[in-house]
Amino acid sequence: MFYWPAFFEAFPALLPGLMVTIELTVLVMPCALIVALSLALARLYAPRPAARMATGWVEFWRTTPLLLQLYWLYYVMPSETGILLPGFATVAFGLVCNVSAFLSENFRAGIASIRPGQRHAGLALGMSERQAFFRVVMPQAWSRVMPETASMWVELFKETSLVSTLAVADVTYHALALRTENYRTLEVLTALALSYLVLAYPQAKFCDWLYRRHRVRE
Amino acid sequence: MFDAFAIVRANLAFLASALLVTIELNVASIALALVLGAVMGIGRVYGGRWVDRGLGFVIDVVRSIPILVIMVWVFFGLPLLLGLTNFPAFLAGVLALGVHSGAYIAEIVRGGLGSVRAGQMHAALALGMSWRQAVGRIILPQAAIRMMPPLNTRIVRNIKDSVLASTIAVQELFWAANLLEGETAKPFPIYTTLMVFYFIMIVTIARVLDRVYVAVAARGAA
Repeated sequence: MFYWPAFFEAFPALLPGLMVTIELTVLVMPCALIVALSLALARLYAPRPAARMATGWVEFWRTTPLLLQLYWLYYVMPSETGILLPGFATVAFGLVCNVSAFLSENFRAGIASIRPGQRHAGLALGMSERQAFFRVVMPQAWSRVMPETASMWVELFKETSLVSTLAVADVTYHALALRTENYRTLEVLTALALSYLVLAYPQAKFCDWLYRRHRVRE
Repeated sequence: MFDAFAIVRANLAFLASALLVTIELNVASIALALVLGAVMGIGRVYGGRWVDRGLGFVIDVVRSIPILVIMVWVFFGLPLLLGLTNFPAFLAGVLALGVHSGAYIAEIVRGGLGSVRAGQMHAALALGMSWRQAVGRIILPQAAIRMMPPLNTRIVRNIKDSVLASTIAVQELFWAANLLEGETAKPFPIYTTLMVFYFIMIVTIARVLDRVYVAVAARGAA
């Protein structure tokens, strides 16, 4: 039933796709972190209309399905705005918007959880607003948001699989293509699942460890 | 401008029938996820060391594989493994979503049960309750309320993930939208309507679930 040679042969065929998956994750995450921090700061410190807009933006990306967002960007954006990006850039942009929305919510909560007295103390010591934020508030908030940020990374790694539906040649795309070539569906898809598992499992365990280590004790 | 959306208006009945499939898919998969999650979560807390480890491994495996991959594996791979023919896509969608969400819910249940202080269990046993009664009447009701916020998040997530069933040709809302787009080549009105619809639906459901939690939250206070 299960044809082992087809299973083992699938891995080398999936490797180029795996590189694209990793590339996409590595490219999207830093961008998402920067966007997320800007959004969180806008929601906390910007004048009300700007803060409201940032909140609306975040809520939109958090409450609609990622696949629909990617389809919208891929099919609607070029036809309506004339902006025609390559498929890879389109999905990378969509993932940055989606992931940064979730991250910004996490950052906002983390920054808000640091008592205002911390900032006041920084200011009283003669720090500028910027110094008080980056030297006093941020380092404390960071240890609270880090575990959640790490799980978002794992989440992103898995979510990149959706780009396969838009012909971006990630590992899932390669597997689905290979399946239609050699008809070894069970072996190829199992190899695909195992590829994700081997890469994501240690990361997930690392996240669990981070959660234990940075548990908030009040 | 608004004529662009005529294509959506003309196909409302078709989209409504697909929405029904989306609802059925979510109700069935969330029900399965809750059962699986409760069984695995309770097993991890009370099943002893080896059950805890075994279930922990299974849960971590499921959580490490993308839902899309689980879905295509269940739909295309599982029937080959079991020698089944004519495996219905809807069933595959329910199984994949149910197992995926179930693994996350198991961790929520485990956390919720763990948050009820040990004294509660001791007191129940001291009053002469059996273990089953103590868990069912004392621990679970308290834990259930504390589990609600993360459970609500997971339910919303399940609804968002359910659009992936379109990739295995479950005839749900996103599948119907893609079909319509393929026939008419009008992505703007179709996907925009769908986006707005999902936004309103999910925000509404999230609000309702949150209200329910707020109404009962005091009963779960430690």
